[in-house]
Amino acid sequence: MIRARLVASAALCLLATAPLSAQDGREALIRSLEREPAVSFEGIQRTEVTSGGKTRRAAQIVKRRAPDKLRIEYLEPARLKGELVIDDGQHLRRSISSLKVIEEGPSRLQRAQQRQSSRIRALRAGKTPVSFVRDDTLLGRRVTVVSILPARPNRPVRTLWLDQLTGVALRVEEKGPGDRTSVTTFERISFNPVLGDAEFQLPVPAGVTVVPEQLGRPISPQRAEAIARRLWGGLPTPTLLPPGYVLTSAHQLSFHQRPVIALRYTRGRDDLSLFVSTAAGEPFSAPMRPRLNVVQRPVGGVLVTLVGSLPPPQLERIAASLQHPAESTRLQSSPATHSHAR
Amino acid sequence: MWKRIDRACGRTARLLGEYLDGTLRRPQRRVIEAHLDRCAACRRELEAHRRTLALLADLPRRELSGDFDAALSTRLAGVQGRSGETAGSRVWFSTAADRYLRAPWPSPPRRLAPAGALAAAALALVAWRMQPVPPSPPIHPPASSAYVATLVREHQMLAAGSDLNATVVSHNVGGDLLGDAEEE
Repeated sequence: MIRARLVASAALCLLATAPLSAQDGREALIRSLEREPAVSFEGIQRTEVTSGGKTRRAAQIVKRRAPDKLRIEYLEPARLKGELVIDDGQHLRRSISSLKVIEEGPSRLQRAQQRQSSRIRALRAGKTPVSFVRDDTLLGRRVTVVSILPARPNRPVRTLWLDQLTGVALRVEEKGPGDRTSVTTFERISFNPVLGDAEFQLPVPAGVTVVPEQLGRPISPQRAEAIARRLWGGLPTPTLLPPGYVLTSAHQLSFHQRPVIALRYTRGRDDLSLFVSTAAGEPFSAPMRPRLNVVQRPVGGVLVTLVGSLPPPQLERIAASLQHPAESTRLQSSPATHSHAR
Repeated sequence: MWKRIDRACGRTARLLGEYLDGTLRRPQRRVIEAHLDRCAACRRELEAHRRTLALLADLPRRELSGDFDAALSTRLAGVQGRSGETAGSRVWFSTAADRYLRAPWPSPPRRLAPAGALAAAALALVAWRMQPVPPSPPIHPPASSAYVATLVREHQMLAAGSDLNATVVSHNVGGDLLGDAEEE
């Protein structure tokens, strides 16, 4: 009798620690979701985001202590170097030293835990299409590669390299919508390190302000265009931009409960934000602080605000080139540039 | 408990602009004030908004120069002088209007006086506007200063790599890789 129990227990233990199943992407993903929160690790990651022909790269040290602590310390790029993101299970905080602020929002890990069972149910019900791609090896570890198709259009297709023993995603690839791709991959990872409490605390230094997390959320340019078409008949986009500026991201936020669409253009370290809304406002142009100017003007039935490091006359010229929403039928990822705008 | 507080923080953050504009309804205002009383983070955010608004308020406004009236009067007088009428700008306007209104059957020259005055004023304005305009000082709309402050902050956050950071964070939260978080 005792022997039978021992055999049954051993069988259960073997099942619990069995590698993620090959050939069944959905089961592999479910087991990953079940196991990953119980795993502690630390490693170095690299992330590449490509959009509009421009690639942005980051490198970071990632430390995870089960079940609900996460620390990300940026090594690259220069503008993010030294910045910390810490999720302590209650709050997600990000220190932005250049602005002397700490951005604070609810814990993403805790939210993920709270949703874990419903996510697993949705996976089992087949609401999230998952397909098995292949078994592979990454960093000397066996991985199962699965692909998750978006449930709705204009969402990315994700491919995950799931460590078969721990369920941790060693590589994540996102493709779409449009030409946007992002890849995060571990260069090095070690499991079960000793991580103290201090690693997951973010003290607020004197002179640093804590602000709620960013009000906006990233969306695809295609989605930004769709929203603007529904709300305003179209999205005003500049036909004149200084050489080198490309559309790198789009965001949706709200002000006074009214939607605002933000388009982000970059050239090296220069940034230009174009905000579109129906908020009340008058035309104006003003320098806000060194290398930060604002130009605002109505275009058709919407208010367009340009914020960037370009001098006000150039912002004025860009604003003057904005097409009326009704005339703007398609958002171009790389608007026409004009040399004399610079 | 933590979730309720965070939701309240999110709501407060969204309504801070209206709160500072004084456009919130009383019940909403009370809810925001009650939350601000107990949430240090939101009080700090309120102060940050106030500081940005103060920065905007400190920007120079476009105002008419002190001698604008006198300069306009002189120009009007000059135009008037060339048309052979009495100099004296505003006095001339009122005199001409009085004369026109007093005369039940104005003589042809008197009947033309208001039209002449209007033409003179238009000429004066055109002449004034054709002069080289010095670079205009920045102006700002008081009604949208909270909006601009919010956009400036958003721009700075984006400039600080928020979108790249958002990708890195989402790639490190296993559950979010399913993509349902972005459906909210």
